[in-house]
Amino acid sequence: MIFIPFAALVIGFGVVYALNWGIPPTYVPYFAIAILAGLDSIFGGFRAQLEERFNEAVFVSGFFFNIGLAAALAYAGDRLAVDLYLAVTVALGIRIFNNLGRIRRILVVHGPEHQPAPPPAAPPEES
Amino acid sequence: MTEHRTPRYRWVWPVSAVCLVMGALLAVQMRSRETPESFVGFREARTINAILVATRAHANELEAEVKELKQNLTQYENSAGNERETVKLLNQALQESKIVGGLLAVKGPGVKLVLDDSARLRTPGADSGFPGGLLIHNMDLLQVVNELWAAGAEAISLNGQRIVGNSYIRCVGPVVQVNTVPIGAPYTVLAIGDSDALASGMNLPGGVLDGLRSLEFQVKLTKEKEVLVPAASVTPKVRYARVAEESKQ
Repeated sequence: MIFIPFAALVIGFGVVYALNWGIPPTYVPYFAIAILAGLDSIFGGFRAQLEERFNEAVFVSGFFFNIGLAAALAYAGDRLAVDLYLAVTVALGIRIFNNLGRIRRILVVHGPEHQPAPPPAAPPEES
Repeated sequence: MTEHRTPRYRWVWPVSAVCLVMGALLAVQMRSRETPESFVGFREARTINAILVATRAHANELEAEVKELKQNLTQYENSAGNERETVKLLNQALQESKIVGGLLAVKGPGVKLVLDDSARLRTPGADSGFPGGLLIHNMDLLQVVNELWAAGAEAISLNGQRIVGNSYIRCVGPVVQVNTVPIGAPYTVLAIGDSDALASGMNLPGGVLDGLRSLEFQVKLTKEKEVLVPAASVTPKVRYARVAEESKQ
């Protein structure tokens, strides 16, 4: 089953690449921030899955909400002449590192077949 | 596959949807980044410079060729002009067009204007804050040429470069570029036309020379009985413009 998301990734990429959609150069930076936010959400979801507290609704809503929020913050920052995109980049970068670190730790310590019991009062997944 | 329905794999579909969107986002970003940057590196600049030098040499050769061909053409016209009256008339019209188009060197009464940078530049300490304001700029020359056309000039040259319809006067660093040729101060402007009209056009109160004189630019305007304005060095090829239907006869 793990291959289905990868197939979806490839299909989404291939279709849009073939359609040759582009955006005006002005919006490329905001788009980059949005992609970073999307990456963060995906790693967050992966980590939540490993920690057995994955929730589809939180994951999907988090993905789209974070993409929109990141791009909107960067855009608003540009309008206000404040480098808010830096804040977004740093925050997302730290989160991605954290998530990847947790994922690595779980995989290294417990192995890929890791199935932990959920912690007693598991906080809801961060998105 | 009954695995779909077991809770363990419920995550697959939302994750797949998200991955689909992610792939699309990446593709859009890649497609948008593909436009190359307009940055020119040092190496490229050197290569381009070499090409420029070679092209200039080639341009010089072609210019010589143009000169030769123009002479031939004039000879043909002369021989043709002797033959028939209609040809003569056509020839006359052609000559007039060529004068206006700057294809022939022309002479006649007019004015000679010599412009040089401000004398204030030579007094040390004076207005050293903004020396650029005391140099002749391409805009000054453009204004002079513009004013001369307005005063009825029929032919204008700037440091030996004929000003025609598609001539340009650009600022390229320390010098001014006219018709691809870089020129520097002092600038000599020759104009053929009614010398009184041209001179008074130049000396309009509040006009271009007035402004330059107030900053102690060295301006020398003389009325001449005869000035010689050279032909345009190269006439560009017409590649895009076509005769419109309305003016075809």
